[in-house]
Amino acid sequence: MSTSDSNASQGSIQSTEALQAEAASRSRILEWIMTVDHKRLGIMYILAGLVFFVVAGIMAALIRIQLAVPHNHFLGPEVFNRMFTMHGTSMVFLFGMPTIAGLANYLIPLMVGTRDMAFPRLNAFGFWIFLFGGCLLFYSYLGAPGIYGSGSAPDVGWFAYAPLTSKVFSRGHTVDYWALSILLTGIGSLATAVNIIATVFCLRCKGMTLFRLPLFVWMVLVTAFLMVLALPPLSAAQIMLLLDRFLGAGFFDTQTGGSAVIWQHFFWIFGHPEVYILILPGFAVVSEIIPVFSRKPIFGYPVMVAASIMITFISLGVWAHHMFTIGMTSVGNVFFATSTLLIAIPTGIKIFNWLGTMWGGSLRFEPPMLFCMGFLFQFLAAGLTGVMLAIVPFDWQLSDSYFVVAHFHYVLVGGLLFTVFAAVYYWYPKVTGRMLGGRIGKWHFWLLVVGFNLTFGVQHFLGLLGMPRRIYTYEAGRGWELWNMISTIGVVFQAAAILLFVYNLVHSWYRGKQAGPDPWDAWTLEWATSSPPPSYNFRQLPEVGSRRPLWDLKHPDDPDWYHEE
Amino acid sequence: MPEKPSIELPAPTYWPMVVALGLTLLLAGLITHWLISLAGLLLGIRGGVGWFHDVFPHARHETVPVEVDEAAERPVHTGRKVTHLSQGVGGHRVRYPEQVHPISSGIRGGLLGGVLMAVMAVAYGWIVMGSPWWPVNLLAAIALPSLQTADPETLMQFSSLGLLLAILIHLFTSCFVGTLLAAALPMFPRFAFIWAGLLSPVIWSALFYATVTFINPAMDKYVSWPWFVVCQLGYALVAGYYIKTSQRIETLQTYPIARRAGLEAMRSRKEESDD
Repeated sequence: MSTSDSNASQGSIQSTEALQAEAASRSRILEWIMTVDHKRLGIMYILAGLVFFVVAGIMAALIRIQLAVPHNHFLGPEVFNRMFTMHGTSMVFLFGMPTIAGLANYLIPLMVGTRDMAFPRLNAFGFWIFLFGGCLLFYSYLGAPGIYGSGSAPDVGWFAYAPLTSKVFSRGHTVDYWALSILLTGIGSLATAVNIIATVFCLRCKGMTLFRLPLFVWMVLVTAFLMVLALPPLSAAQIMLLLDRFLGAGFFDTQTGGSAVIWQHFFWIFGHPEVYILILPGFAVVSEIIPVFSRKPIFGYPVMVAASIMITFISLGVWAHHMFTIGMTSVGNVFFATSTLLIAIPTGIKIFNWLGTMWGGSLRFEPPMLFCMGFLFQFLAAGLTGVMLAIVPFDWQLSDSYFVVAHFHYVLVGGLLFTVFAAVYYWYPKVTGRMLGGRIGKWHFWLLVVGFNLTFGVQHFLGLLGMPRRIYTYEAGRGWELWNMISTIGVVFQAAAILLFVYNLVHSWYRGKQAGPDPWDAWTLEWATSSPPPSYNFRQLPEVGSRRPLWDLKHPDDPDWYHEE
Repeated sequence: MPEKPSIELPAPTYWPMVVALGLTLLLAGLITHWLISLAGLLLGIRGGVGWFHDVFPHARHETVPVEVDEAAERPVHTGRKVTHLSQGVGGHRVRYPEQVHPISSGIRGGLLGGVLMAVMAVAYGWIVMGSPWWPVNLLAAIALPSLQTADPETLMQFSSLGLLLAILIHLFTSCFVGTLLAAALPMFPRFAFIWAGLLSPVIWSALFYATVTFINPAMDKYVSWPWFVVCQLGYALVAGYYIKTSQRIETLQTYPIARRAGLEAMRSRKEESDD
């Protein structure tokens, strides 16, 4: 008997014996290199992302050591510039994006009840080009000075404003490494986005209508659309920058009739949607975890979907709030301030709905839930400072200060990173078949909460006291010393938290408690198969009748489909 | 013997990886050496051809035998009912305290703590600065502009107006903070007295440190912060302990909504359970 499905029935099938012999001859490493399995690619994305996260995190720690005291010479100014550039670029493009791609890859086929992504080979291509792009970026440390004798790693900040990127100010190939590697990783992200859209629209199992999709899938789907819309302007800008540098095209060179401001427009047309590309999957994770650990269905499912779509649309029209200080017209300022304030509405709806889900529920404070709670508080703080920065005169005062650094770290660390950890604690049992240590998980959470808020909370005060970002040292006596020292002390707590997390990952891999297929008593389809799932995901493709198919399976006397519209 | 069940999946392939490597090298050659671009181009073309043969005319698949996992097939049965909280029921997630300390205990505790704080501050002024009026004048400077700009010599002199103002400010603040402590104490987690006694003074000292420049420039200039925090700790520990030992009174949280709204004279849950 052969339970072929639509993925396979039309394909050319080699004889079973020949394929099994070929499979047996492959080493385990080769199996991973050749894989097109969405689960393995998902794991590879997340592991690669974690490696880049650790490297970029070490850079952040070095930056904080440098700034701990005035007149410090731990890092030189050039090294410092490279550090914050590589830190920012790596965290956004080599940790945030691939980790999201990894989660989406691993979970979406399982959640929509299919065997793989729509284009499995394109999926593998996306991963490898991201990895090679990342390696090229770090190769700049060796390659740039090694062959031409000038330059090193990029040192122009993660948004690489013109004219700093022109040949006159950035000699050698530092900027070229940055542009090319971002171009390559952008191709990988686009491949992933196309794959996600095709999978969700074409490969859902029987009965899974769009309004029965898990919210994780909905939010990753709108993120994929956002990636398709936002990444091409960035890629176009990178190509224009390369044309400027290699052929003297002069797009961003004011002396040859170009415009440096155009670069900012191109970058932020990508850059602000990018913030939502990073945080919407965080919302997706929270929307799965909070209901399970509150023992209640999500509050206001249709409104959550609508809010995600609203965020997607509005986020495409807010980019110039990063550019209030360039001197736009009043109409421009008012438009972008209003659109930025507007985006707080769907975001606020989401926060209220998560609270509504918890309200009256039977809460379980396991590590995934704790990280979601941390996210709620910290992302709220990030949102409030975001609203403050949307007010144009306020932004004029604090643009390029540590207040902005604090704000976006509350979004990306307090928001995204906490949800990534929530996701790891929640789905690790599914991926490995073993539970992560709960006690260590709680230590990890509390150390990170304390460390994170020590490091970045006080940076709001530094910004208000006038400390500009990207300075490698500062004079004593400006009232910055204490806050900088506290900020650096916070790094120690964060480093301890990350070490515990890595220990927990490794230790639980060998010694963790057996998880079983459904350790959290959850409701979405990934928990309907074994842990870890077999390569084909489901022996028989599932059929669903509601948004919580496992609830229906477990409670045939009171299924959800009876209540859902 | 029946054939073992199996499923066809996309066959593994390294061509996507080869194409990705080729494209990377092609671009990397722009900033390294043209030979690297050439190698990338060749690799990319070879990878593209290999990928093409993987999917045309038909996509390659491999057959995977199905392993029957009984555990995964068996759904977990759990309780259907969600336990909801109802108002007044005890538990760690109850939002509002059922019993609170009376306001009078807050005022008395605040006054008691205030006496200790005043003794500690005056003792510091006398022993370290050589004048008991030093902390009195520093406190009075909040309301007295002449003291805000005074030099240390003046701050060590007796000022009747300064003394009167300092007593009034100290009395008001001690009672006010004591009342806040009484209100907040039931909402602290376990060991409320310790939390209130140690954490609260640190928080309000930090708040005061951040704003004192605007409130009282003289204090900002001359105060000894370690001793300031020690005085606050003394105040909070004494006030917190006094409040903790007071008799708690029941709040309306335990009463049915109809009684809270003044519609019916119903009894509280506690009264019902006592009967």
